[in-house]
Amino acid sequence: MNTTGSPKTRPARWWTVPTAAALLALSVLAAGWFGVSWALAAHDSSVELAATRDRVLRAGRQAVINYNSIDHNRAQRDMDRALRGTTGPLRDVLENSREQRVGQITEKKAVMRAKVLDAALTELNVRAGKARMIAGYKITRTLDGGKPSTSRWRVRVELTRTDQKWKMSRMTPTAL
Amino acid sequence: MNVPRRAARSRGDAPSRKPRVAGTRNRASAREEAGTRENGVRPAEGETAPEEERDTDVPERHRPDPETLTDAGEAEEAGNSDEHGNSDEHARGSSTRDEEDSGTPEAVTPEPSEAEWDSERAEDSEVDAVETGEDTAARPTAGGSGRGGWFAPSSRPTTVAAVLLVLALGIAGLAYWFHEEAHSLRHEGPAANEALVDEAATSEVKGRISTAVEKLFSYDYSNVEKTDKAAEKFLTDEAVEQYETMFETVREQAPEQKMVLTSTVTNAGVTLLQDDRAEVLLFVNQDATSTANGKSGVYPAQLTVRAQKRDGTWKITDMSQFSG
Repeated sequence: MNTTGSPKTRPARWWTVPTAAALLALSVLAAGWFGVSWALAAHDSSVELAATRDRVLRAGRQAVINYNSIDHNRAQRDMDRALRGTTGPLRDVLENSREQRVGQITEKKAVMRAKVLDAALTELNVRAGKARMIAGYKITRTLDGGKPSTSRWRVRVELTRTDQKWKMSRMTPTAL
Repeated sequence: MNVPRRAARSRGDAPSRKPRVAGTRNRASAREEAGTRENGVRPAEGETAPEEERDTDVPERHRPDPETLTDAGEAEEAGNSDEHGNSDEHARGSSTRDEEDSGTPEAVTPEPSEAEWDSERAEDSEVDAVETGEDTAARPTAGGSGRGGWFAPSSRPTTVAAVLLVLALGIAGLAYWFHEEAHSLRHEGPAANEALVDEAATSEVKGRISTAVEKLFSYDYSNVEKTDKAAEKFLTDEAVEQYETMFETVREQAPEQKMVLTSTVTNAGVTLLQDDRAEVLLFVNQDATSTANGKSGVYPAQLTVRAQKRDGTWKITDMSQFSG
């Protein structure tokens, strides 16, 4: 009577529960599989190494820029910033020559801006906390508001990890 | 005493009951037609013909049959009150009949058909989640009362299926998200670049490009062919023209100065290594010696090279002295 319209659709509806259950089981399996895959990827040593490589390279580039960018108007502050990117022997050298450098820059009213043209890590030893980087950069120097002059350099840098940060411990610049 | 009673029963009682029992049975198979409840309306007709008629109707129950519709209409009023009484009577009748008539063939015959009916009903009723209240109410007396719980809530399988489906969709979404996260971790961002991560491939590219650069930028005025061969071997695409521009002055001046140019790669770092593409930064020292005037000097240089692996070998596709 009142149910006469539905019988044809009934067999289809009967399958909805097992079908939905099968789909649920499938999705649970998929979620488990990809969840494990994600967890593995998150702890994958290669993925981690790649991230570290990029982080070390960024730190190295910034250290080179900071080391070579000094404005006579804020020489002490820029020196502090340059020092923060260094460690070990290079930090000692910079600290020892600090007053002399600041004096020269202030006297010449020099503004030095460094730009890294290209940089690459040549070695990365995460366990030892050591890395080697090569970089090409240019310094634009302005003396007493005069005409800016540009010089190009290439530098070999040794980076050392200290306090979870990578800092320049050695650098050997060569003028090009 | 026994014999006449039995005879009387089998003669008078049995025929009158038979259609009813058959009718009840039939109601089950033709359950959807409320019209099956006519067994209360015509209790003692005892004709087999209407039964057969109804039986044939069963598969086509969805077709609105005018006859059964009227039947149903009748039953609608009379049926409800009849329902329980009838089935009760049926239950009682069959039980007594079972006891008393167990030996008679007449009494035995309904049994298989009842079993048949039961199984048929079992198939039917599971699907019939949506049924009229009378039907479900009648069911426990007529068939397996245990099944009533499963089918009683009208749309339970649909609800269960919907809930399961929603859960499945949610978890599938979660799985997709996991997959995307894992994929991006492995193949996007820093992980896409295998420089220094794949040590073997990194050193292969570094060695190959370093060798190529050393050969390309070494020049002996007495053996120009050597450099030309290197250019042909290692250069492709834009790098061909770029090299021509870079090396133009050397080519022009070298013969008269009797120049020997020797390039040495002092440092090289791979900045990008992805699939068949690579980018290498090289520090090159160019040692130029002019045998004509005895002058010599070392000129430091920096070179950025892009390369592609084609047919198994790395070829320089692009190069520049001061990139960025």
